[in-house]
Amino acid sequence: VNWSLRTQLLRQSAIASAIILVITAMALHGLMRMSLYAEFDAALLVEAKSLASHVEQSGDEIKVEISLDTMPEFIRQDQPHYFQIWDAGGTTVAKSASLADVSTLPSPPHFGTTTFTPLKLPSQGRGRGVHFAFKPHYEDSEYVELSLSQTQETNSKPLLTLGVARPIQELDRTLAKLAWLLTFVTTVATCVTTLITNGVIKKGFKSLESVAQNIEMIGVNDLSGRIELQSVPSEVLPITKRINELMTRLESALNREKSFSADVAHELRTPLAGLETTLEVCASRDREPKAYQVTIGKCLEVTKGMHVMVNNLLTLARAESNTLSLQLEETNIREFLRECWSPFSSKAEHRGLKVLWDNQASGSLSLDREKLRLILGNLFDNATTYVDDGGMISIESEIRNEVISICIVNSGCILSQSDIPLMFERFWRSDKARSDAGIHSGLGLSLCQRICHVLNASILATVVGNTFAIKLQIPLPPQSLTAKLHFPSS
Amino acid sequence: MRILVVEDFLMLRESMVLGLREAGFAVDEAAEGETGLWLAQSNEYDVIILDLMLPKMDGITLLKRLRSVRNSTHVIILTAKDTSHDRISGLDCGADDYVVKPFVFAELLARIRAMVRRRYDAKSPTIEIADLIIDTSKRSVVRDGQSIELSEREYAILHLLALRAGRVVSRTEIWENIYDRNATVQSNVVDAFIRLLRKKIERPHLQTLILTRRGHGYMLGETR
Repeated sequence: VNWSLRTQLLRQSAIASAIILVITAMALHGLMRMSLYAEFDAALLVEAKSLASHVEQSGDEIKVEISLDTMPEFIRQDQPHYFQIWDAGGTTVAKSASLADVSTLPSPPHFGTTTFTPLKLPSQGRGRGVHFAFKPHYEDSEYVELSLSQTQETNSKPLLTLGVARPIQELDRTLAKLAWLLTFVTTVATCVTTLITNGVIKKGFKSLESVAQNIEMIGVNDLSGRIELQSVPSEVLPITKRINELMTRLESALNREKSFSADVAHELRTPLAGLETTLEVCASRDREPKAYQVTIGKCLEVTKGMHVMVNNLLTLARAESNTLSLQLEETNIREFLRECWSPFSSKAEHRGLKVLWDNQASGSLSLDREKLRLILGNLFDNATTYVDDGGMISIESEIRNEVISICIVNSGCILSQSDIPLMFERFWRSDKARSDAGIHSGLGLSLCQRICHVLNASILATVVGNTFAIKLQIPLPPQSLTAKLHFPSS
Repeated sequence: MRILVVEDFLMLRESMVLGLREAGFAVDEAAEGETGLWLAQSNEYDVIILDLMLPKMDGITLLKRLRSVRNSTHVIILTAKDTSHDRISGLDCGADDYVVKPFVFAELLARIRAMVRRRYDAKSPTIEIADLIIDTSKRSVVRDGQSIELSEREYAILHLLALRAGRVVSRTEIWENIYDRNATVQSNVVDAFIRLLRKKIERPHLQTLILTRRGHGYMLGETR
């Protein structure tokens, strides 16, 4: 069962206060009991001493001179008190009438000392007794109470032990009443404490409940809601702040995801609409064979563009989910750059471009060929597409401070410096690239940036006038540095 | 009927323009928003087909600018944006219809025809003038129970005259509705098409339907 925090606190505080109150009540009861017993014992001793003063010894005879007037409690029938006198040898020399002939009080545990003991009365009730040593009256002498040792040392007269017992029913009744009273008070106090605690907890938890309501109101699909921090207690403020921060990140991720899905749908829908309409219009009537050839050619071009876009999207998704790993291979950098350029050379030639090479980097380096090929392919494709007819493309490379730099520059740039931060966003396209939808989808640079992240490389774009430059900086792994020393730059 | 297509994706634009021309419309095209707005403000179109994500000026801005100068041309938004928010936003900005890519071209044509009918207050796709029946959905023409074969331009002129039956349509209006702005044809081409139409539609024993109003233009209607 998932108990609420409030219930748990209430339950625990109720249990704790109940325990404290019960212990307090028990302690109080114990103290009262001790106090009452002490009082009882004192009264019992007084009674015993008073009785002792009525005991006289004449020769071997012990007389207890009491009457109904002087000490009625030892004579009466209803709840009588009891006494018994022993001589030093433990022989009973006198006892109260209430003890009858057969009943006796328990013998004193130690002759000559004053002791209080609980005992069972002849009437079967609970009682309490006192034993103490005393010297009885002799003719013309006063009663003397002494300890046994003093007695033996100072007086050679025989010492008697008097045992007096009386019922403790009244005392028990008083203690029982006290116990009931304390139980009642404890129960009421526990209930009142629980109620007060409940109110206090409820008040204390009001702000937490408001936070919970705030959180509850945040929809599954709409993460724009935030928790109000004004009413949040300081104890949970750090958690609330973290939740808000988490919500911001989640919202941003969700929006990015939504935007990405919408962009993907959009970028695929437009070329798909183009294909469908082209084929539908083409099929709407009989046409010359050449018209069909042109239509097929157009459709093929668009499907190739879509193919590239889907591949780029897959690679981008893999790069973003960190499932791409480095695959280093020994690579002759000069040959590799030429190899990557070769698919674009005919396009450059067709557009009358002037291609300048400045390859200072050379030798065999440990590089991830496939990933670098993907980056360079995108950059060369962009350069040959967006350069002006008859314009210039420059490809430069150098190794400095254990980093290989590859810079691709093209003329005829119509972008502005403000476009630079945007061009690495997914599906961003310049106005010139927009009309090539389905062929240039705006994923290339975003993909390059993600792959650079995997390669621990950097990619930087700059626009100066009508010149666009993009620079790759790839740190070389240690084994490549040796290779660099074997093949110094030219 | 004259249509403006504003679409940046070359292949789609070319195919739509071809399909619309083959359906008998005069079509102008623009690859970006600024040119699209300029064309829409410079010419009178029956329908504008407008993409939303365009270079230079997006479709929504173009539409707002068009409506701000009280241009009431019917606009069909043709876009890949398919969320309810996009549809609401597009229609609230003054679009008359919203079509999501990819689409069926025949359906787009039907929507354009419906827009054209609405423009000329015609509820039915069939127009009847005396014994002449024009079915705009099938693009068929029947007179006195006999089917008449017409070329695309002849049909376009007859359709325009029929939509404005009883009213004079000037040569310039006819020209603008059958040729796009880049057409380079002789100035008497409208008269030539009217002659061809008369040959196919008029019958000696039936009343004349295509009337000439000298100095003003042509009118389709029953003679009193």
